[in-house]
Amino acid sequence: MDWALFAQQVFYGLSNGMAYALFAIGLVVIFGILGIINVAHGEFYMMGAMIFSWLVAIQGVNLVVAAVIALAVGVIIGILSNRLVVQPIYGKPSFVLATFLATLGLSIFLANLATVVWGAFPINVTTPFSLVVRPGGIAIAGDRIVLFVIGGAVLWLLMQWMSKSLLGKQLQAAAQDAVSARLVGINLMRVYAIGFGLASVLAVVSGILMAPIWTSNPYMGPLVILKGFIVTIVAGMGNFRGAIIVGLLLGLVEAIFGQYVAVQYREAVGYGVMILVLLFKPEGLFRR
Amino acid sequence: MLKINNLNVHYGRVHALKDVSLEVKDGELVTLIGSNGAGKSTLLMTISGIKKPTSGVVEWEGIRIDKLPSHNIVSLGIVQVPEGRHLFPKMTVLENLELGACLSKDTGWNKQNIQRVCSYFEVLGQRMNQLAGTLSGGEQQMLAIGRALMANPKLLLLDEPSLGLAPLIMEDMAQVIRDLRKEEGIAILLVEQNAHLALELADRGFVLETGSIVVSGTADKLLNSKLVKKAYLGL
Amino acid sequence: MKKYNKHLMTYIVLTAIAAALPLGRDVYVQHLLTLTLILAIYALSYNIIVGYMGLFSFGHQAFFGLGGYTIGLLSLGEASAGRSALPLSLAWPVWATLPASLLVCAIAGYVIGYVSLQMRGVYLGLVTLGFAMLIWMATINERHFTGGVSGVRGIPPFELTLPGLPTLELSSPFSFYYFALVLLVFTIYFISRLTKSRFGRALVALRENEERASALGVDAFKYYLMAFTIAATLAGLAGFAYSYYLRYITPTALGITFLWSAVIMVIIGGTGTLLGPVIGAFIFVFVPEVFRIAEELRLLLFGAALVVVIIFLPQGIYPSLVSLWDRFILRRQERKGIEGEISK
Repeated sequence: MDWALFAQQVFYGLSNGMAYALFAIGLVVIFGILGIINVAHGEFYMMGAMIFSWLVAIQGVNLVVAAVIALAVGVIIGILSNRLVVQPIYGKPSFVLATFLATLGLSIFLANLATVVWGAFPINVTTPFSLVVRPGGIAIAGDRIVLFVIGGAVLWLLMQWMSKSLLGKQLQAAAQDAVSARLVGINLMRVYAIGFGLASVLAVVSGILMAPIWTSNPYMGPLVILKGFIVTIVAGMGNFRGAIIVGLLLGLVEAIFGQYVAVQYREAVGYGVMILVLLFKPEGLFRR
Repeated sequence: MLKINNLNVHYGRVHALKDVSLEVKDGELVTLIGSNGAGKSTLLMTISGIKKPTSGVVEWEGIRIDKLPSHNIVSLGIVQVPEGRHLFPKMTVLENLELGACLSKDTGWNKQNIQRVCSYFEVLGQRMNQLAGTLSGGEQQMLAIGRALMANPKLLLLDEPSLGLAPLIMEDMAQVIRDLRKEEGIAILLVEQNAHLALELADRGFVLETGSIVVSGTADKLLNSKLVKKAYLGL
Repeated sequence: MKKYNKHLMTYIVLTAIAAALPLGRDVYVQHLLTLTLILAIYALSYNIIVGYMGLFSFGHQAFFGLGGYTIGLLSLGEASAGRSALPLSLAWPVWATLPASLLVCAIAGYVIGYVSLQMRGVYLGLVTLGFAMLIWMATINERHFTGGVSGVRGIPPFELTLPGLPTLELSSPFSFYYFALVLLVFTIYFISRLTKSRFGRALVALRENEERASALGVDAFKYYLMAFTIAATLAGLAGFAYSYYLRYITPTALGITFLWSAVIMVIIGGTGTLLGPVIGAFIFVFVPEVFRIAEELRLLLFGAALVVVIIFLPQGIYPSLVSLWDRFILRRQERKGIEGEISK
């Protein structure tokens, strides 16, 4: 067995998995707090990647400035989505499905808005890190190292913030018991807005980090959201740590399967696992 | 202080509260007794701003509060301890208490406040880092009251604090309620099914039946009323 | 009885109007009309799940695509097979491809339904979506069999030869329109009979209150599975017509855009009614044409419309129109009644 190749696939898979985890955590935050599934989350990712790529590759904007702009736009889209699309139907009978469909409408809207703005062509972006390093006979793309390091740092910061800060605890409290949260004086509308803002930041961060690795196009939202569904379902809806572990594992399994079994069905593994989990352990592999 | 006038509340087509009027004065302990489904919890939830009334007025220190969002009502000093405790089960005792004070920015004051809560409930002091969901029923009730105290209430709404507690612990809880009144001057609106306990503690009381107040008066008067004796005291 | 006749009359008039629609129009409009009818069948089939079962599947596009692919692959003759580099050259005639594609969809619907109908709510949506994505992926990857991304091209025109009659060839939008209309009328008739039957009433009882209906002895799973299979089969019928009409089929037909269009047509038109999805299909095809807007603007518009309809008209456009009309009629009758009282 070629161990260098294996190590390379492991890194490749884990770095993809880091992006899946970052992305899926945003879905988990919204599901945890509001109990709904935000289908437009994939388009939040797409918007982040597209704005960043467009600014850097076509407008020649500095990397950091482009990332900040993408994040700012992402937060605004997230908060507006909550205000205009989710809140008007939130709490009504069968709002879980209604919000699913409404955010599906939002996702169709955003995907085609992006096409109108940028055209349907993919945008490629290269960064100063877009080079290949070869430690010990394995080839690793610099952008993937950046993804792994920044992604890991963001996840760590997020966990710290959620468990240590008062605002993070308020988010947790709202997720555990909404009525109690209101009775201790937590402003739920504010928590919802923060939750959506936070989720879109996470989607945009993963979009930015993946932009130099995958090419970005306005239609990639659905493919990404499906990864997010796989991760959250397999981990158990609303499970934070589980989503990180499953996200990393999904990337890893895809890479290994692609290398050693059938590369064209790499993406299918996740769907297969999701279906099996839904059928046999619908509450997910990790308890909340 | 708290004045409720002709309050009506609906759940869909169900008329849960019908023209309810009552008053709680400064430092007073008022009890609301009634059987399951009479609308007691609905009344508390309406005062707290969780449930919006269809008509009527809730006034607090001269301000109308029935249209205010719940967090504003908490910041005005009306804090509820809901039925069944409703803690944040996956957070520690300390975190639950901290969240109780989430509207106050003064951390020094909050630390002092935690001391105060522990002076009422010593057990909580020993369990600060335990998850709230793993506490015993009595401890959970203590934590629920402690969490409410963290917000420095002027009016405490207690929903069935004795529910599911052993008689001994129930007696402790009654003592705490007396102390809160005496030492802190907190007004209390106590909802209870246990009418004995409630009328023993209260200055005045109201009896709620299917959404309407049927009898009201001083605790002594209610203890001697035929209806209360028959329906709630089992005499 | 009288009401039944009135309904029948309404449908006969509507069919007559539909039959007159393409007369004297240019080919492009005829093409859009034909497309509308085919998509209406697809929307109606999706409505069985969403409207009558009250459940959400997000895998319906798979059945539409499977129906289309089945006839595409089976009908390829030698000449066209060479062109699309596919090994098959079966050249099956219509009377064989129709039952074949329906059968494939029925089996697929039964199997997928059997596995996923234990689920409810969004979970059911996600399992079915998972299956559809797997089928989509297989279609793209198994290119020696399915033609991969470029799909199946060169499907022969729809030809029906009956003994003693001249061969019926439908190669223009105009002629295909009437074939699609026959299929649509059949579908509407079939669904209306279905909903009025004992089976349909059981479905509605389940939709309204599954627990109560189950307690009364309705075997929820059995009924759902049956309805799901029927819905899949009808989606296959729409796919069959689509494939014969366009004479090509690509993986897009079982991809996520066809899920979007089903959701849009049914939700915007109105769930749980016979005409809602048809109106939804009409709006879906024609509104963008009227405003002469580009493809991406069209989906942009419908994405926004979906949000607006869910927020403001949760029942959909058609039921809202009906209730508006009813109110209008009622008010008129009331006024008449009051005037009658006064004149007395």
